[in-house]
Amino acid sequence: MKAQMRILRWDPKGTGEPQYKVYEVPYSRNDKILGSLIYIYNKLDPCLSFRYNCKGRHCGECSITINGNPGLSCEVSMSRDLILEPLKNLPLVKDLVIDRAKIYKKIFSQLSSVKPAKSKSDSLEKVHMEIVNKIIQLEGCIHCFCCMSVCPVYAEDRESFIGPLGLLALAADYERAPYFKIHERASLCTECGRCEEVCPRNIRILSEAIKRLKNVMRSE
Amino acid sequence: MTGANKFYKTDILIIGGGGSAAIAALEASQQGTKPLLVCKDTFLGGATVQASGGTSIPFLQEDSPETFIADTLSSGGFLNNRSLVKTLAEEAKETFYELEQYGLLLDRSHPDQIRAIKRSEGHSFIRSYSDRRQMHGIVNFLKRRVLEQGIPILEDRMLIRLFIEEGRIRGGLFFSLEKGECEVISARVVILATGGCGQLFSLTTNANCLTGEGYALAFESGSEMVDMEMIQFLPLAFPYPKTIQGAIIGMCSLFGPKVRLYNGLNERYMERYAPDKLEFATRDVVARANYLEIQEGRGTTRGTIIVDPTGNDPSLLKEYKDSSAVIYRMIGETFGEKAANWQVPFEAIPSQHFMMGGVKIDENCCTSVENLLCCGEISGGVHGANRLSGNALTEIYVFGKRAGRKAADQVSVSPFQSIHPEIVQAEVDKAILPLRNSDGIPPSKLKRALQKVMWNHVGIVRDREGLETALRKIRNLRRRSAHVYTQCKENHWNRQWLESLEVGLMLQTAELIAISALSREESRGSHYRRDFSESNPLWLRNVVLSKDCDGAVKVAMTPVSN
Repeated sequence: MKAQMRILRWDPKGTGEPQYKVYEVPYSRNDKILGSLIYIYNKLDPCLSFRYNCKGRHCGECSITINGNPGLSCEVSMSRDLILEPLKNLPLVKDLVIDRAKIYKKIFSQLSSVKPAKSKSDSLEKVHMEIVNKIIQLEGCIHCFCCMSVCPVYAEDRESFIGPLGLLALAADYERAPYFKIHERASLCTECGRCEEVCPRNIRILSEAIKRLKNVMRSE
Repeated sequence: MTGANKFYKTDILIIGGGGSAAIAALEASQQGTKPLLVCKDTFLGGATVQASGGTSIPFLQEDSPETFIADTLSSGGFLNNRSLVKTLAEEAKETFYELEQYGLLLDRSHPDQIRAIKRSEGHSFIRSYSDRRQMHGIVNFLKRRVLEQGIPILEDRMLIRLFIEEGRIRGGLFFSLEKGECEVISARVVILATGGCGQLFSLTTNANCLTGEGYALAFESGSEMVDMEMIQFLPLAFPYPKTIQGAIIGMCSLFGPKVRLYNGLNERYMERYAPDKLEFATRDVVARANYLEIQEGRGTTRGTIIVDPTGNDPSLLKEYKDSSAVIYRMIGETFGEKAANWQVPFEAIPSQHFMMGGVKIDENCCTSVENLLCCGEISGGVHGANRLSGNALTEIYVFGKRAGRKAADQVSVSPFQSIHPEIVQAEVDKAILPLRNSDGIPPSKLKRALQKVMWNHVGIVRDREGLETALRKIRNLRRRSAHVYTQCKENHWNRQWLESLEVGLMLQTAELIAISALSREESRGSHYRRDFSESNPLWLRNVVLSKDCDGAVKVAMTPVSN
């Protein structure tokens, strides 16, 4: 059985225009999309550019747009008819590759620096388990940028809005040291909840992070 | 590309994109120097992000560095470099807790105690810090700190040559995937932290970027390599689907105290391999048992073994779900929800996991080349013949920091030295060949052939005949690699070009491993020779490889380093 993959190809540094190229690949219901991308690269089109690394949902590198929705290509299973595009709203390098470094540099540079704790080297500072649990819940992000690619506010304002990924980091910072200035960073969010829907780590970006920041702002 | 297109100059050049590179960079910067980070893939990545977060820390009152040292040596078959082990054990807790002083919150099981719940295989006490964020909490924190410190990072750049003159490092040559060109970086001090070499094997838990070129380049530069035959295989990995074949499931202890392993004949075969410790024997023993059962036809019809966690108290499952959320989901998707929830057994295969051998270092991460330092998985010696679970992460904190500090110390006494343009030009000319060649062998074909040779002959079970076959085949592939070519002729983001440069170095690293494995005529830790199946006290020696004056590989058996 075969599957058909339509992949958006474009090198912004080249002379050509963006175009969808169609590939036929062997279809195996339980296998992952990434396997078919590697198949295309090895057998059909060695110029296809895409990122992957760990194959185990940890590196966040293989995220792409799959039939309109962002996802990790090492996680999403194959289907017979697929349209693959790079993540939306993010700077394109080539084909399915986006410039990840540029984005996280930009986001992190807008957050204030992490405040050191006062712990000694031979023992740990006492922290309420409630706070520990909250922070742990917010800090499993793999920087795959799936949330950023679906955020309608980030799509409109990529310069000053730090997006769901940045707000998530900010929320964790706040739990650790509540004097971080929240500013109006969270207020732009329309609470559409798309970020939370697409997160491959199931992090509750809207309900546990962004809404919490908004509550803090209201009470400030 | 006609010559090197860019030249950078930096006091400290740190090569690698994983945890040890990041920690070295932070420490160097903390000491007031300005490092530059260069990595082949993205920062922060490598094997560090894949780890489950298990870090060995002797944190309990009743535990001590001495017990930790004894456990590490015993697991390592007493081949470990004693002073490295001592340093690891003594500095583990302090360097780890120190992360909190920079603002990280370590996961806790009590308000003032790190989250460590289970005693892992080979450890006398509970030492395995287990983070519910897996490594992402720590990794994102390190990444953010590196950016905050203003440490420049160059990504998608692969090291293709180290420049050494008069026994001293001068810098390195890099291939930029983004630009499709070569760049020279000259430095006073270089820290090599390029990680392991799992991609030499058909089945590995290692990420795609871990191709092990650092070993070949360090060897070429004149560094001594220690116990390159010592490669760890993990007992449990995914057998299917194809894309994730070899990906990590873990070790038996993750699946509760009542976990059982069965073969296709429904035998609890660990009774034969380790009658006392059974499924809880160290990784090397269980991985070998799993391999032999499958290899000798006693596996399932699909060539797998069976992991049966069903006998456990179901209340233990929650801890597993919290600590290994991703693998829990992957097991559910692959074998069904019931398997994920310990209600039915599931299948597994062994897979390559970690390189214990590597560049020989001292406790300050110095190699035999002046001002070339090494830390993390690429360094050899601390783990001996078999690494204890959790010790790889402990290693990156302790030795990453030491490398960063030593590099900073060296800066003021190490002037820049020029790199001869003709040497650069010769390397650049070589790097462009795969793109210029109009036919030959595509790199992926060579890579797959090598991976098969290594898995079949230099893998879990070895013997003279197999290792000699492997060496012959590797050398044959090395000759063929002179004709490697890219079918894609684009300059920008040409993965085939990168792979072409990788594969030649992979073959060289593979040859070092095979030579080392052939030299050690005994079985110890992860190195199992069918033709010398017992440990031999005469072999309480390190196999040290170095480059002869005529370029050949010189093998020496040296007394274990103190």
